[in-house]
Amino acid sequence: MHPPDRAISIIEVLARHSFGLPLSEIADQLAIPRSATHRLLADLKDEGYVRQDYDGGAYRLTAKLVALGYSFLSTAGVSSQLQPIIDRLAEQTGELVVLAVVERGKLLRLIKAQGARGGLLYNPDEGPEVYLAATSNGHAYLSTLMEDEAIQLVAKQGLQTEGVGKNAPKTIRQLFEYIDKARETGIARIFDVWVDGTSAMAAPVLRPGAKSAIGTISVAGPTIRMTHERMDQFVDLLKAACGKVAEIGSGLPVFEQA
Amino acid sequence: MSSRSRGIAILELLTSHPWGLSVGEIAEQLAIPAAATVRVLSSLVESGYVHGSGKDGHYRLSPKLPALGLAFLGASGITDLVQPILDDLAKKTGELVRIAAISTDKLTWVAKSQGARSGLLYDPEAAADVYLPASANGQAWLCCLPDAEIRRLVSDEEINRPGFGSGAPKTFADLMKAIDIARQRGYASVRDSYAVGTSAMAIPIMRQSTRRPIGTLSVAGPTMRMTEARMKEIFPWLQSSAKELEAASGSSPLFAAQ
Repeated sequence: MHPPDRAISIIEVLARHSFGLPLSEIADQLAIPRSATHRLLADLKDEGYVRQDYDGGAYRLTAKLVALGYSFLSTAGVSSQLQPIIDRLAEQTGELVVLAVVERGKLLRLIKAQGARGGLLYNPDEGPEVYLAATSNGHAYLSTLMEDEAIQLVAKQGLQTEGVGKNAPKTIRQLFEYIDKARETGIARIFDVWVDGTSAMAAPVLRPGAKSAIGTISVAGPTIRMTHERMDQFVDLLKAACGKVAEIGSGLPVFEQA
Repeated sequence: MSSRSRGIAILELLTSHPWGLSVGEIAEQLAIPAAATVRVLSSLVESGYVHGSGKDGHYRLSPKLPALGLAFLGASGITDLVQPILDDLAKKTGELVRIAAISTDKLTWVAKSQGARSGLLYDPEAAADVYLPASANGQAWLCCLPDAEIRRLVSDEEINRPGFGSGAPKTFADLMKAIDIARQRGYASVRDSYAVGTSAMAIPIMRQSTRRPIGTLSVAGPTMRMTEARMKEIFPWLQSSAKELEAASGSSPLFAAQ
């Protein structure tokens, strides 16, 4: 085991607390002595990753982490080749579109585009890792796996019963009803599963010439707009976007290489 | 030698090498001993930020870093990220900092930060829309557009609207001259134009994926302080703030679908 880099651990903690944390709490969460935490934060401040509203105030991340991520996506060709596909789908659907990538059995949200111009819009506060059991992206990914493998990945994250929507699967059996349907139709659909009042659809991005998923794309919005009928209209657009991402994107370094 | 995190240094380096680098290359570029480089890389592989050496012996970034950035961006919301960037620039310049967002054919004031504490300060009552020809923000946007598009946005009647300063362009030719200068210099500037006795400079904020403008960022103040020499001093700060804003504006509805 190699100990994780402490500065990176601090960035991870602060990424989860967008309103910032006081030094003492960062130190406690990471079990690092306060003096060392103070030094690490001072370095991160110098490097521009962290800011403090006033002396002695809470520490929070600047936009530099985001910028670093974007600069990678940009040199990796994602911004120029995949982002336009996601932007276009957002524009066509007028809803929130997310591209997640498969990474060692996890699904990570990589890019998103908000198609809703105003009014009621859905912009969830989510971590980097997709919770597989109760999201459309998760269901779309699980639908491409063998049953054993799917259960294993779900078990690793645990089946949450709190903080999810009222229709979230409460048992593995309920989960597989969603997954089976997704496998049959090629599209995962959820209503009030992840967040009450919202619904979403997703499809897997399959590696060309193979049946394994390298990512998923979802379209999500308020349930009052994202009805079954409206989802029907989006099916072809979503599948086309998945096809394009597979064709253009599978050679990009953000996807696991075959 | 600062105590800066080697983990972060490696992540930053790999950001610009999406297909990865060998241990030797990383060690050399960062001037870290090879043994230490291997140690830090192993820890980064374990925490999921880096893919272990592939067939080519290269270490490359996984999607975890951009996913973490995206998660933070979603959680903090644009206003929480944007305001500190404006506040920083306002503090550095001691003047009024504003951003405007492009929506179809208009430029709309979105947020500001006043850096002048007291004495002579410029803090206009902002109309919702920016009058393009006479403002630094307007000119900064026009700079990015082909001439025909400028013509379409600024008709002859639009030029020389009453109520603006002596420095405002009186004819379309005046405007094009100002834009030419701005394009060469890298920033737009007006003197006694938008408001008598005030001067301002501005640059566009670009969408990173498309390199198309989504808004503008300006610094404005009393003409006696905002001299040409002062603007040259401010220019690099303005550029770095705009870059931060570009990163922060990634998936925001504020700069939706431009």
